[in-house]
Amino acid sequence: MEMENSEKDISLREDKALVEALFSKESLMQFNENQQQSNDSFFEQQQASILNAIGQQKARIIIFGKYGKIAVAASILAIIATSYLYIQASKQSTATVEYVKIEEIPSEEIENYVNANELIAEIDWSTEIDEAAEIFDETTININSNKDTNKTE
Amino acid sequence: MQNDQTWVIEFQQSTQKEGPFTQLLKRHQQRVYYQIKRMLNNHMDADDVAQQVWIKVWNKLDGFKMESEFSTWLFRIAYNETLNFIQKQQKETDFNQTAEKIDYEDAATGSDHPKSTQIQIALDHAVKQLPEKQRFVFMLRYFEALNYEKIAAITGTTVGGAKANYHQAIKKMEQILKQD
Repeated sequence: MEMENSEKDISLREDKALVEALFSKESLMQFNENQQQSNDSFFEQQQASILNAIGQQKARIIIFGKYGKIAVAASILAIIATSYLYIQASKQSTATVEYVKIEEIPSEEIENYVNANELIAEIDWSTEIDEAAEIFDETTININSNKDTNKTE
Repeated sequence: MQNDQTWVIEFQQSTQKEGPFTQLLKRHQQRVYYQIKRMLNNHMDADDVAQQVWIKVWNKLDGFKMESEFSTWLFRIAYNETLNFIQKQQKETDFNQTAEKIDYEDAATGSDHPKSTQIQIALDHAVKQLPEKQRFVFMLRYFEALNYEKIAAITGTTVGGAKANYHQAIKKMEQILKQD
């Protein structure tokens, strides 16, 4: 293990030496120092702002957790309602009146229809006749009774 | 003295996560920030990316299975976030040679680099010219003194690949120096 570590150290030193041959060690150190220049309180401020951002994120999640379910349920209901209304509307618009040619109707059906309506017509006529007969009877009775009273006078 | 692993376990098992998280943050905050800053060469950008890294750590730490060291996992997140930031920046701004030159001169004379000498200017310039992966590997090897196994795990490559990246970075910097 120790040997492995020392080998790694040698390889690191060799790798570093390759760069230091191009640029001086001092300039590399200076480069690193330049990147590390920040005021003393920077890391405390950064820490506070990271924790603050995380706190805000948590708050957003909590709000969503509280009202999110209601919002999701409401939107699902709205989707169902609008799709139902849409389907109904499209059904109405697509409903067309079917025109049937009289030649296409089977004669049996026509006969049945006529027979059924004839029966209704017969019933209607007979009631009309009966009513008319009743009126006629009443007027003739009245006329006869008038004649009788005139005779006795 | 508790190590990273115990803080991670405490974070994963506790409902009061702020405590162990703050401990991990304190232990690694500076190294993460400096690595990102070396990559981006800009304080504000490095601060933003570092914050994103730590927020990601908070969100994903429950799922961390400790198959690698916490620091390796953390640097892998930092690596991905930094590369994402650079790619986004490259999309937003057209990186032409003129802008590069102005930036390079700014870096040499700006307040971020008060003690710049010719050789440091050349170093800054050469580092900036490196492809992102090579730059990241170079920084991890030279400044963080990480072994290649760890670098390979962070950058998602093999040990051989990490070594090749480091040596290619040096070769490229040498070429840039010769050009200058």
